[in-house]
Amino acid sequence: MTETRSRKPAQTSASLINTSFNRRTLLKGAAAASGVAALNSPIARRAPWIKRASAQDDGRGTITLLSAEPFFGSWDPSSHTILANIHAEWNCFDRLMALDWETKELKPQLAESWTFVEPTVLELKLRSGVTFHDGSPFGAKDVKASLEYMTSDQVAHRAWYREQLQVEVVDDLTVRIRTQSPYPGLLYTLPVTSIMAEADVNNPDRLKERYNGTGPFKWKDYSQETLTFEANDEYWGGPPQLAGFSYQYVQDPGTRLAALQTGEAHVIERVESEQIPEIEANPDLRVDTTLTTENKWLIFKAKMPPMENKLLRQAISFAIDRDLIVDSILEGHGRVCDAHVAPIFFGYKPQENTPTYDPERAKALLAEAGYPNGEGLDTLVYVTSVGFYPKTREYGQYITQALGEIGINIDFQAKEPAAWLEMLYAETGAHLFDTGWMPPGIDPDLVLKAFFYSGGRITYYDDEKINALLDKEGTADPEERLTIIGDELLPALMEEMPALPLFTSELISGVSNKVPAFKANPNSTWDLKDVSLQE
Amino acid sequence: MGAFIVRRLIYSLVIILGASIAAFSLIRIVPGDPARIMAPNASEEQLATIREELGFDRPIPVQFVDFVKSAIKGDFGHSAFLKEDVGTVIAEGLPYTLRLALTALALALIVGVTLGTIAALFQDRFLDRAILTIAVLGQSMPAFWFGLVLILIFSVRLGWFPSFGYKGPKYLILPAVTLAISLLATLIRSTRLVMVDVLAQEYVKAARARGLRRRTVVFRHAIPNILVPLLTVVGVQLGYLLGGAVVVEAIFNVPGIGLTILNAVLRRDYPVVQAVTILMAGGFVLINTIIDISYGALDPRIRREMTR
Repeated sequence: MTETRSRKPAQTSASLINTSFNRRTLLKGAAAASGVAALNSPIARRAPWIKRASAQDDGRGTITLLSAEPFFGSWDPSSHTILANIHAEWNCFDRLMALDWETKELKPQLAESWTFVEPTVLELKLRSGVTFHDGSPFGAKDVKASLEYMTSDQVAHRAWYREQLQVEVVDDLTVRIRTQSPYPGLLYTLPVTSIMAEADVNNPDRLKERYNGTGPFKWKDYSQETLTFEANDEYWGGPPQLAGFSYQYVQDPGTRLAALQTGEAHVIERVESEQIPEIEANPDLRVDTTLTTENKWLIFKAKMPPMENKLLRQAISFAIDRDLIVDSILEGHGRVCDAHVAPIFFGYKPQENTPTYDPERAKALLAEAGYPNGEGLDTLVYVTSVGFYPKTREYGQYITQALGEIGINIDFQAKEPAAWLEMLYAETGAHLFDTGWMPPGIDPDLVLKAFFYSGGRITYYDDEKINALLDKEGTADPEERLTIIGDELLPALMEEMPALPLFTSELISGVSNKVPAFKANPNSTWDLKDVSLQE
Repeated sequence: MGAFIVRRLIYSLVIILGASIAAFSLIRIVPGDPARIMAPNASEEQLATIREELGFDRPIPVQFVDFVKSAIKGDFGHSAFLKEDVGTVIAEGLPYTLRLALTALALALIVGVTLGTIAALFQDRFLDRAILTIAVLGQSMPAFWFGLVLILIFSVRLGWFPSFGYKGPKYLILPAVTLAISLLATLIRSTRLVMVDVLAQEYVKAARARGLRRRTVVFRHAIPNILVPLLTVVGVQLGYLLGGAVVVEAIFNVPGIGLTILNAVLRRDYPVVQAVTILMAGGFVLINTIIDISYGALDPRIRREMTR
């Protein structure tokens, strides 16, 4: 190697290679490079965490909530059905009306009053003096743009609506929603739909960039999997009691728990049952439990032979001890289902023909189905997910064993959520599936029509009798509708058993006592406007 | 030397191209549809709209060619989940990971070489056994377990350090110790092994015979001669440090590229997975190239070999 020294400011690569190159220069170079890198690193200059400091919170305080589910980075409320995004939107956008979860009554939000002027026409009078976070005034044009967009065929939010809504602007503060036929479920579906500014709806790129609602908190920032919001002090319902909040995705449940215990987080989602004693043992923390709108299901894929055999589905339903699942495996955190909707739904009525654990009856039904002791029945594939819903692997293994005891062989497959999700919505691929379904509202059509109407989602179930009953309740007047659901539709579903409702989920959150008013809603959202931070 | 570097660069490019093909195809082969993850309840038509928006509706070879063309221009695509260009995602995450990996490396080097040297000097005595026990324990403890134990003791019980995220240097201590522990164990054992060998060499005995103090012999004659074997160990381990960062960043929720790629894999964020895999492969290759070149700087005998 040629030993030459160059003092020229710019060197060619060849001259660099030929420069004196020994242990001392290497160590010196490395030290200098580390120093320069540290001083000039983007982190040193940008210091993104400084934005998130809570010192500038005018005495009201900011709180941190940790999400168990990642965000979908498009902030268009129509484009997803992801719970983490729905939770964040819930406090930034208003809806036309809100649901009182205790009384199940509708409360005015952006609509002050509403009435069906014709069976297919709902007229709403809107609140005056409301502005969006960008300062633009709220009015009938925004309701028209939002509802027609959110129920259009190309967006994911459409999943919650029977049809695309047509909205007529009567005046600046009055709209009329027209439907093709009577739509009694509409009133209880509107409280799940965010109202956006017309200008944003007309500019999809802008809609995706940030939230611009009329709600109590305003969009501030999104970076490093963390959403931050600040109080909207001009909120029509009065200023919030918090200066703001941040909502961060933290994948690991142990990390979420530690952050709650150290006081770095105020609320953590999806606490696992074995973590509860640790939270309860800490006098500064509490466990918040809420019975949700979500049933956990054992889905029977109708297009996968032999699952079209009703007697086989019934045999499986009688072979599973759902009390054991809730009491022993979930340690009591859930409620055994006695209907195809959770108790909070309109039309819920406990069904007398709900199958209870009875292995002898299960064996008899299996024989009646044409498979005595399971003979002639091929192995059934049962797929579940691990990593999001609690204890799926544990009760999946129990179900596998219970079905084995009556002669049904199961190939049990536990998959990570993305792989499970892709299979879940396919017509074929497995016979039995574990899934949950958490609608944001409490209208029964959000479950029953979605799952069981004319080749429903996930189940692909299509039965003339069930379709007719769903058509009948979907257009009946509200009181008659409840009777049809409770006395005709739910019993028929329990008889046909297109899917076995296992249990209604309990949402378990870990909460700091510094936020005494915090309570999760049954659809897993939370209203932070009246939550305060008490140091 | 120049030819050697050029040859290494060509090898590196081939390896990086192979890594990009593997990253691109593997993430698409594993089950999971990003459109379905974004809108679980959406109909097939709605999913088709999302796929079209993301560009995932095109044939995979077409997607790959477009990806390579853009990557050459420095454009690694856009993350629909993070709502940012992938280049920005990496620029934001990389400093956290480098800071974590370099701190862990520094910790492991200082403590590992010191303890390894002490163990060699007191070979087969109590101190040697005690240090080797520490090394075995360090190597046996899984990072995810050790990290959780550190959080439990130093964050939850004692309240000395924060448990997650990164808002300043004190957030780095527990993750760096967790990441350093297995490398520390390797370095103690390697240093001890090489040092025992070096201390038995004739020139060391000769130096002692000339009347030089033991400390002088160790620092002047022994330590410079263990650098090349140690460098090999460090080179290999640096790559594992990047891999280990994925686990450690997940435990401590450090927003580096390790956590970024973990989340990207879980939600099938294709552009991020591709770019970060290539970056990590490139980093691994670069480290090894630098290590190879460094041999020449540290050992004149190898330098002569390279220039032939």
